[in-house]
Amino acid sequence: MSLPLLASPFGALSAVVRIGSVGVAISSLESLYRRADLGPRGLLDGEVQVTRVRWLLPLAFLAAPPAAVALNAARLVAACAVIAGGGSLAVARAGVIVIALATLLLRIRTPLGIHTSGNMVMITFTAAALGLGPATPLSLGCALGFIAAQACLAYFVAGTAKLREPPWRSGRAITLLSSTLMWGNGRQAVALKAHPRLALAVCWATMLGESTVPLALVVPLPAAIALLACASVFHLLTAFEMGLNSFVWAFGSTYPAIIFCWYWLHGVRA
Amino acid sequence: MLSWLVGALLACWLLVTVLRNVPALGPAIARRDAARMIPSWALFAKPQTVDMVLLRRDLLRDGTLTCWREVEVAGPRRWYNFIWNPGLSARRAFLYLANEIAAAVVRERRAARQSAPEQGTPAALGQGTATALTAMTTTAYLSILKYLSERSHEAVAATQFMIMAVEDQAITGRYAAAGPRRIMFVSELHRVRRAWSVGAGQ
Repeated sequence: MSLPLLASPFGALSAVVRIGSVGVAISSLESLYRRADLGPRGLLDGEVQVTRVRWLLPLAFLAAPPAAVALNAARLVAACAVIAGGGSLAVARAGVIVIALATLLLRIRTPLGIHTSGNMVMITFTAAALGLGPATPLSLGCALGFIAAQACLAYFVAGTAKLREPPWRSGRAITLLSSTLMWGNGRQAVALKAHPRLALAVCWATMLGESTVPLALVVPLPAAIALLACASVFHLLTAFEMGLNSFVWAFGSTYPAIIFCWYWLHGVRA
Repeated sequence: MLSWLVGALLACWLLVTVLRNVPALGPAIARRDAARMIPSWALFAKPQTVDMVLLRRDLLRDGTLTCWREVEVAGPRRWYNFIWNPGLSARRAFLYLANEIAAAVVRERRAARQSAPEQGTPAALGQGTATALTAMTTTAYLSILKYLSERSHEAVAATQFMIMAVEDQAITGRYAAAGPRRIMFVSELHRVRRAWSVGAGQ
């Protein structure tokens, strides 16, 4: 994929949804692999969750495990189609609409266990579906601008919210997180406890790194690419150390939108 | 025309998301967002410093009350989880449910302290207290109860669960009854109905 291709609205949005679809395919396969979690003997059963508000009752059919399996299967098939044929408008449009609808219905069914990467997938594919519907340069540009703005907002809020918290400023947060089975691992926790200065440096690198990603829109293009490359490395590290495998694809898929917006803001049009 | 509508819709969505991420406005917007369309991006700002462990004990049909034992909601972390992590959704789901119940208990304790400050903060959490009643009305409580009921074997007549906060589990290994821990919540004892049809058994 060449960078000038990302100055074109369709080229950039096609890159967004193809990268995002890799993550969607993996997460759908994961759900299908552990489909017992979606049924009565699993924590992602929908029967109780669809009773949380009255207006969801007409959607109670979503609670049935076969409905969740079917939605995940539809996401998987559509994601594979977008990865293989996302360069075609018809394939990208159909695939993205299926992924967006299935994602929304699954979130309505069981809003448990959805992390920030799940939010980003929902944002990306819903916006892409809205943009690819009319598929005009304006609608595609709006979708890309929205995705880029949400990504920059996500990084900025994540960084500045941590800056307000004493455990992050003092360097304890990363050690505390690493000490949990859920997000950490023993080897890393022991190393960070033994080297508090390293823990402090990791905390501040995380906070400052996240807060500065939106600068990618205004700095020269090589610096913008370097910033996004650093953000990718950060997500790879959190995938290895925390098991957050979906973040790599969910946030990585927004980078073509950020580069498109860089071109647009700097007057480069395809 | 349609393109402008798309632009306007996305602009409104972005604006509401910005407001959702303002600390003073976020909770009010989140309460009205049942479809979870407006994300909070403050990930890990308040780091999870403990693991939440689910424990259960059962009243068997012969009258025996079993010991508390851990319920593993998913297998342990594996080296390949950086690319393939199928157990993460179940682990996150339980963490969400446990935090929801813990939050309901904290709200109840705060309300009790404000309404009767002379009695101090109630020490007990859950079983046999007002905090149990509050928690029992949440979907989080019913979800965990249903999960445990469906996973009960034939000999179980009633079940009870406890949520325990355990520190440093990545270093000390899996939950051990003798290790340092804090009880977050204890449920009531509920009759088990595996062919679940109406609400929580009691």
